[in-house]
Amino acid sequence: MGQEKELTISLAGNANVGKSAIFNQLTGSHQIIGNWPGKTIERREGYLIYKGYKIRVVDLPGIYSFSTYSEEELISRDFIVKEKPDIVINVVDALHLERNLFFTFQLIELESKLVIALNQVDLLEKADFNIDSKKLEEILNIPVIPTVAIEGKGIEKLIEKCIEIYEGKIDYKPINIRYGKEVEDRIDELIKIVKETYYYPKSWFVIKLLEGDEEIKKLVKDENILKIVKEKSEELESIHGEPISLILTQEKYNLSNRITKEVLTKKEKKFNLSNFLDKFFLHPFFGYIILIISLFLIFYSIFKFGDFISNYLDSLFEILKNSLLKINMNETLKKILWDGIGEGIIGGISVALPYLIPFYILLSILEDSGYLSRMAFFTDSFMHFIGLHGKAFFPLMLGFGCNVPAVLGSRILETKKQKFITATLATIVPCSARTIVILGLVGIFLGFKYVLIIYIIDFIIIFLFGKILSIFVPGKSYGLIMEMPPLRKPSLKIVLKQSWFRIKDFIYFAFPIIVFGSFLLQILNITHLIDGFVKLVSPLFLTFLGLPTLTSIPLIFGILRKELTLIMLFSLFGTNDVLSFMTPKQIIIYSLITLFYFPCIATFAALKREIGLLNAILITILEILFAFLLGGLLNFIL
Amino acid sequence: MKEIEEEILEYLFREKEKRVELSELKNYFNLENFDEIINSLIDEGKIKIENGFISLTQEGEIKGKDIFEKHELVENFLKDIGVPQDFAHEKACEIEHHIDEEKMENLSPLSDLNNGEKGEIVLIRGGRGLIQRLYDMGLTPGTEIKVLRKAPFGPIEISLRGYNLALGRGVVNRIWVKKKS
Repeated sequence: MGQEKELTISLAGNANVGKSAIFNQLTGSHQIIGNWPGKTIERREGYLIYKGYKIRVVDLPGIYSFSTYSEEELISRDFIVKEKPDIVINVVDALHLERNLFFTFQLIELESKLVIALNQVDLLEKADFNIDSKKLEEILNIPVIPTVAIEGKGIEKLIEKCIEIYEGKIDYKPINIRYGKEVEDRIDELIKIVKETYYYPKSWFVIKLLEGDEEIKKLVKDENILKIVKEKSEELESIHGEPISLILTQEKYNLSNRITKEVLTKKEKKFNLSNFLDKFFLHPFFGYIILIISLFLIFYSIFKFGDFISNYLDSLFEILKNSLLKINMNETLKKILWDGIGEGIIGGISVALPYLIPFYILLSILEDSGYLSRMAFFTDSFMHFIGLHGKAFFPLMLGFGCNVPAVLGSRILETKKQKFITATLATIVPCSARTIVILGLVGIFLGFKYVLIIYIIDFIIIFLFGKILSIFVPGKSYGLIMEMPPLRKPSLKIVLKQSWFRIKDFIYFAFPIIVFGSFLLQILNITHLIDGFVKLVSPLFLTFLGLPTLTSIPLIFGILRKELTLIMLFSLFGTNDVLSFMTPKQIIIYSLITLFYFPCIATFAALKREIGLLNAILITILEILFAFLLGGLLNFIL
Repeated sequence: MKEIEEEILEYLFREKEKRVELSELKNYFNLENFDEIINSLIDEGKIKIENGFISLTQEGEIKGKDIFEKHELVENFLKDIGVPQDFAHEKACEIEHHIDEEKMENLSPLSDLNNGEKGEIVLIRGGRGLIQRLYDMGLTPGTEIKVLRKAPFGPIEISLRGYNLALGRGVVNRIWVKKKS
């Protein structure tokens, strides 16, 4: 297929406008979900073949502005100016035209070639609005294609328009955004003296300098120019009595307000389903009940499904194991193969398949339907106690099931700092594996009261960690500022497709770490290096923690899966009666160490993905140190 | 009303829990025409003197409170944008007298609005990043907003520019609006 001409299109627009649906319609099954290089923001790319073109489609994160409030905004801005996609499809939500156009103007200023997909026009009719897309096209002088992305309406026209513009068949001259004489004069003056604007359009570069954009200011080496810029913006601020960025933002919003009034006509208001549902979902009392019920259903379905699949997987692996053991080969090699690599893969699959698939499906449904925003709104004030805001609620909540999706879910927060705090806290939320250990040890041998105490200790520590991290982690964190999209029925097709590609992504990044970790542990075991390690740490265990030396072994293997800290404890001591070899005090210390000492290896892989290898290692070391210090402390005071 | 008169009312409002002696006030302001100003305030029915102690009348208290609130608003705003404390206080003392009566009327934090009430954004206090973010979401001064609902313990959902936006408690307290009926 060498003769095809290549073309790059990127999708840009606000969050919740149906960008994913358009992306899916365009690329079908040819898509890859991964991360932006060096960032923890999802990058989705795909391609399609159309009329002799191989069209690469890059989906940019859903954002509201380019003022670099978040990493998403920076990435999108950089992509548009540096990689210069041939065409940018600006997906505009017809229901929220005014706010969407504000973003369109910023794309125009970045001098990207635009085609507007006016999406959700079907909802518009239902909501008794009417939009004149022809008129919008005339005013903006940009092609406007009405679409209903979920049904695939208008998609083909959209591509055709892109190709027409690419081939130069349309004279592309979009509306000029003006800011009034005082501002324009100063822009013109600055354009004359600023020579180097790197990849950025000149007037855009100058406007951002006037606004005081930090990223852009960094690029200007000439102190003199910065001085002049400062003078000019001070002049403007004294003329208008307002910060320059406000003047420019306001001008754009005024324009979009005027255009919206011209093209949008409201008919009399009829029944609105989303508003009606919100009366229940956001009711100060029933809202909480619905929240609790939905959380229960989420957990129930994830674990029901997980259990069901796990059982089948286990018997499958049993068969595999038996057939492998029958093969005639070196025993040591067999051990490495099965216990090392095999167990690693099983460990990975038993997280990925049963628990992550339902997690991703439910996350997509919650996101797509708009209920996730309602959850965040409702729980915002509680999350403030740990230095976060409402959006962190859902990922942390998921941590009670499994820390892996919880860590991965931290990316729905805006700033690096908030992501970091959420991901870190997620690793000490008592997941189901740890719950099994705590119930199996503390619950059975010491009673439920002590289980409660352990949980309370855990929550206090999560709270303290949150407070400490929010003070010491550098970076910004803002309060909750979140669009509440109208509730709607999610599209099952998109949900399933997205979940599938995300699972694939998980397999790519997590499996190598899991399998390698398990392999390494087995090598250490066979070469008896572990025994040496046990000897090395035995003084620490005996005197500092007051634990039997042998307990260090299950703790090492617990790195793979935390349940092993219970299962191996039984098999090592040859009995299920823990009280015969451990005192109640030892049980408490051992359980608390299990709770905190290391995120399991799959969680570590997720952590590396979300906050980088170095930070992941740092957090791991801190948690190990903390667990042992806590254990030691308890040994002395209990 | 003269600035100095407003200053006196503001001072008395701040100290309204204490009993202020006339001589104490005189020393504090150290003005040549002090008696003249005090007399005119008494004539206007803003203050009263009893046994050498000076206090605000009901009318005077309303005015004093008004000036005091303006001062707090300006001073907090200046501190938010990084102006040092002393200087912010000094500047607030100057600016408080120049705030338009019209604009100040009904000015309240967004959190004071009840479900279904409308308001117009007047100003946002906060760092550059927060302010820009809120502008980007369309909360520019002059924008009309409506409070849709308040969640327990602080967050608010508002509608503006044809869409709905949720704001956390910390953010809500930084937005000042003019109530509309």
